[in-house]
Amino acid sequence: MKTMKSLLPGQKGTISEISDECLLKIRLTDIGFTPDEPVLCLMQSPLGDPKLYFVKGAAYAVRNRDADRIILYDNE
Amino acid sequence: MNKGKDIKTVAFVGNPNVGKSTIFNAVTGLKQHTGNWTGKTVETAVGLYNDGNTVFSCIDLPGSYSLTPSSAEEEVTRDYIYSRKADIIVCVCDATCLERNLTLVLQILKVTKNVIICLNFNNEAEKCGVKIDSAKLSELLNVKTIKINALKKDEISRLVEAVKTFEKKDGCSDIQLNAKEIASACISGEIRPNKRNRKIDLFLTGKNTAIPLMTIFIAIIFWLTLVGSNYPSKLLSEAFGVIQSLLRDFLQNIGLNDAICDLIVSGIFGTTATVISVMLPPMAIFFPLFTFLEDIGYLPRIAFNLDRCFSKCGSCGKQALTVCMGFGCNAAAVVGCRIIDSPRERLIAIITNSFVPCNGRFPTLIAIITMFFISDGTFLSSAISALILTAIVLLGIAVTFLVSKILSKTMLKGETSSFVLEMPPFRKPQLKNIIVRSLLDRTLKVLTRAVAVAAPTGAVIWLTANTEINGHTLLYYICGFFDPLGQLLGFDGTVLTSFILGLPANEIVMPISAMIYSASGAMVDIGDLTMLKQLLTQNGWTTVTAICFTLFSLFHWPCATTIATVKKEAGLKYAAISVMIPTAIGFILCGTVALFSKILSL
Repeated sequence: MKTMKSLLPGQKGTISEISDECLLKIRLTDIGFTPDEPVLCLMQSPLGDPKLYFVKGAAYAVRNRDADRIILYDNE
Repeated sequence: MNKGKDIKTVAFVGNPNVGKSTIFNAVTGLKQHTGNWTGKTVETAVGLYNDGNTVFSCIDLPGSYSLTPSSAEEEVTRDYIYSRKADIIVCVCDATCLERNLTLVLQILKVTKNVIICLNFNNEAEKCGVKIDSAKLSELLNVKTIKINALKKDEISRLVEAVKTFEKKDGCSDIQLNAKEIASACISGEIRPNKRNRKIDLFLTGKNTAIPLMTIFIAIIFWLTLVGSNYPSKLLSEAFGVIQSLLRDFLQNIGLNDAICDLIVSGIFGTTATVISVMLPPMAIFFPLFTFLEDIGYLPRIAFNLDRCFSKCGSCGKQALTVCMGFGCNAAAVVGCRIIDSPRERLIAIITNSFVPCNGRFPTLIAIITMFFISDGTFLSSAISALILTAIVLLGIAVTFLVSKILSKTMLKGETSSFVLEMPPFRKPQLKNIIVRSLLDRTLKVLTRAVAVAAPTGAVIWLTANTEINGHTLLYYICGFFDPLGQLLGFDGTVLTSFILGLPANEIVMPISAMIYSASGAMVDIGDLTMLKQLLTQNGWTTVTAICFTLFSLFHWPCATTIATVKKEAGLKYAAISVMIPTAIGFILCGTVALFSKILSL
């Protein structure tokens, strides 16, 4: 399963769904990490974690552990 | 003035980082106050718009992504909107990420129709490849949409005009479309990341550049605060000295008892004057610099860079921000810890906050460094001072990490929370706003509490220094009592007593010591460092004493205001913990250094 965590700076993907019902899922959905939404990994922190992702016009830092819960479509 | 006219209430809502507060400030000008002093708008700001003909009361609600709250701030916004207290709601939207903003707008429209949309950052949006059809947006949402460039004055007047001419409607909207559909109808073009931002971020968060840059920035801020506050502190000191003499003459002339006169002039006024002249200049420099970094958008980058360190210690990157706030004022930073959503991580940030020196401790640290580690007044020595200060601060930060880790393994066990941190684009800082907010809001508030606390403390200190029993002052007995413990810690009873009496305000620790050593019954001006050094060395101070004093200054109980704030934010139990942990660390560190120096006969 391809997740957002696997994106390296410069790589794109399309969100399929967010696994786990949790507060983070609600927050991510509110912000724009929704199904069929394109996401671009912009860069990573100097220490490797978190990474910065560009979604719906804005950039967000998401930790790898949480980015692993955002499932992307496999076909890209 | 109002003549029984109803005052409209206008609420400003919007996502975080959309320029809402800038617009709010532009509308209300200086006629506003915040409910609490924090790093970001965690509390609501309330202000008035008054142009002589119309008045409206404005409230700046905390930035929210949605009315389904994920934090205490968002709860405040949600509760306020649902309460329907506002006559008009101004939704500030960022044109570069309109679709996300529309989620909130649509939720609000389900509550009320009385909405004006204020579309901000249109120029930025165009640079990133999108254009918004505001007429279409107005049509689909059935509300007025104003495109605004928040920095221009005449644009604000259009918003004000819209509020003035707004006709209130009942009921709520029944829009069937969702945010995505509305956005695709109104937005032309596809949004790209801002190239210039990305280039700058490559430096600020680059693998090899991020941490050196951060350290350099901190060092520069310290250096500016250090150098810039020197002369003003001296000036204030002299000015207060003049006022003090005049006050003394006046009170003596009206026949006031000598002792009471001295209590008032030297004890209360003298202590308060010392606190102000020592505190005000550094704060008047530090807070604007910090607010500048905040306004420009650098603070989230710091959290982004350091998040991994903090999450390995069981905490979160936002703690980096509260640590930065702690440099200004520990009490203010404790309130600022509200930006950390997880209660467990918030407690860690609160307990560890006093490990970084606040503005109250900087002057003392700087004085010690100047007296004991540097010899001349050249640029090189001021640079070295800044570096030593940075090293001391880095020690505080290292201990912050260590203690955070220990706390999350023991007292405050739990999983690291999940969070999402938005990285806003770099925006032009609003210089006028920065000066006003940092000076009026932060500096003045902190100064007021310092004065409120310094005055009674001054009275108490004067009483202990001037009440004699069996030929010695109370203070003499107290210092004697604490001397054994003080010696173990590498200094003496006088220093320890000064720290205790300095509980209300860290600024007065050194002045109290100077007062006791010089056997005067009142606060001594510590402006002249050569004289102060003489006084200290005459009373047994060595370099080791200076080191232990510095360590204890960093690691001892927080000031009274901070303790009270912790109690308010987290309860009595954690207030006690926030006292015990730094003190224990101070005892251990100082005791160890003192022991080693005795063994090595330094």
